[in-house]
Amino acid sequence: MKINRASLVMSLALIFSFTFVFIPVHAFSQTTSFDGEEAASLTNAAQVQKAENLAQATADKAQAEIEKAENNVAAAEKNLASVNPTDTTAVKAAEEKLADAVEALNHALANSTGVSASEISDMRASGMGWGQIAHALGLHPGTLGLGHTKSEKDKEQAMATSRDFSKGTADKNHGQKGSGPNKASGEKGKDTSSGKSSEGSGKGGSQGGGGKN
Amino acid sequence: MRSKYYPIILCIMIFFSGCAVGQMVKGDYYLSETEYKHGIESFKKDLEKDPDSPEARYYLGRLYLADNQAQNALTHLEKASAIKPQNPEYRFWLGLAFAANKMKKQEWESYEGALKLDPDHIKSRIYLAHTQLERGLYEDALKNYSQVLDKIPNEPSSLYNRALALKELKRIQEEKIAWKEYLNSYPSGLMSVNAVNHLNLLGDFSFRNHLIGIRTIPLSHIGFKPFSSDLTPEGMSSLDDLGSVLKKKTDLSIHIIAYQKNNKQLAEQKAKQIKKYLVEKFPEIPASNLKVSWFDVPEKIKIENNLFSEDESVNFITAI
Repeated sequence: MKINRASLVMSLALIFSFTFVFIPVHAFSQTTSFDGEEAASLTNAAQVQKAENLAQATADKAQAEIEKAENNVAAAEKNLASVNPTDTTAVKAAEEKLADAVEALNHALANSTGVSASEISDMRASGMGWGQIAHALGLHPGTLGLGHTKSEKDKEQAMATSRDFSKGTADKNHGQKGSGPNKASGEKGKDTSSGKSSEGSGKGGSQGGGGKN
Repeated sequence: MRSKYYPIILCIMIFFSGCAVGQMVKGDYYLSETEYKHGIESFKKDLEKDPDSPEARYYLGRLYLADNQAQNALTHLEKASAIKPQNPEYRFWLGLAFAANKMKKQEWESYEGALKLDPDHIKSRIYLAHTQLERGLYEDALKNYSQVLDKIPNEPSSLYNRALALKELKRIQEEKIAWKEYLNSYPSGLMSVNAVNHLNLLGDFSFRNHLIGIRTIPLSHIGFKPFSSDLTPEGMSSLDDLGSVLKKKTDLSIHIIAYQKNNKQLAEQKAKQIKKYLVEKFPEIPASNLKVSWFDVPEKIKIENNLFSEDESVNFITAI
């Protein structure tokens, strides 16, 4: 079919005028620069969902690496505990293996969170276990769940009501008071005026020997 | 790890050895330095000299308990408590020894006994409430946690478990307030992540969890002044928390996504304002790491199998 040149020009003109009359200008803002500034990086719900999925998959992979390093430390600790203490060669070898595993875990945590290896060592020195450090840094967030199933409820309740058999306090699974996400790494949080979080220990502490009689 | 005050403590221990004060100093030292096995050996010797010493029994029990020797701990703490039945601290630790031996009823009775002797024994009240929560006695647990919070408003386990008890009692409005009170005091860590999930599940998004790299970071709502893209002080405070994470991980890029129902221009301004704030406040963060997006529709948020809709919100997603 032969198209008349004049009607083609007319059609294009119509489409062009329709576009600018009926579609608001801000509809273009996500695909073009706005006032010469930055354009939007995600422009529809599907892209947002894809970005979210990708972020989750990448985090899951990194979490798996950390879990592997945590398991290696646990295995090395178990190995050291099982060695005959009089066998100095075996003890030394087990200690070296544990030191290597700890260093690898330190490195994995530091690398994936941005918290330095020395800060993580400081957290260890303050008496925090590896699990507590990971939780304080916002790792393994799926550990608890929302208590919809019995096992989820049991898990959460077990953590929420855990007993401290050495200090008798009730705060070991909670972050530090008023602190942001970096408090665990020893960085100053947004509220440092409130004292330590072990207030829950209440009176008594470990002074039982001299308690009231 | 030995304290720098070790020589002084050692002198006090030798000087007062055998008397109650000396045993307190010694016992507290071994406990605080986590030298449980050495402590056990030392107190065993003290008991050989004086088998009726309540202090030696008490510390030996506590050292065994800390060393995961639950049965031995119970034996000595029972004896200490029998010698000094009026000591609430002994009763409390006896309760913990029962807990370690999975003797729930006796544990609960011990805390009750301690509270009869001293109603202000906070540790006993917290652990009594724990046992009540475990047994499904939510009203009782709530009452005890509330009493603890009257004395110590920021006691973390009471703040958290009060919300859990309210959840079980289906007192939804109070539960929301309780989670927020917990999060206002303890905004980071695993329990906070879970508290945010509980809150969101109730349709309240005043706090949200954001996956930043590998870390899940709870942040309070990024607030703006009405009809503008000016951040509120609370909004800035939340961004400060985010910035403190991003500045340490400069290889990490994130999407800043602002939603403002029916107002794309304001959504855009909000996204760009957040970026501007972060870049100015944290010069360590490269501007190219912060990618902005904006939408004039409500954000759809899925929590477990529930879909929520927020007309005005900000989300952060790690950009891969």
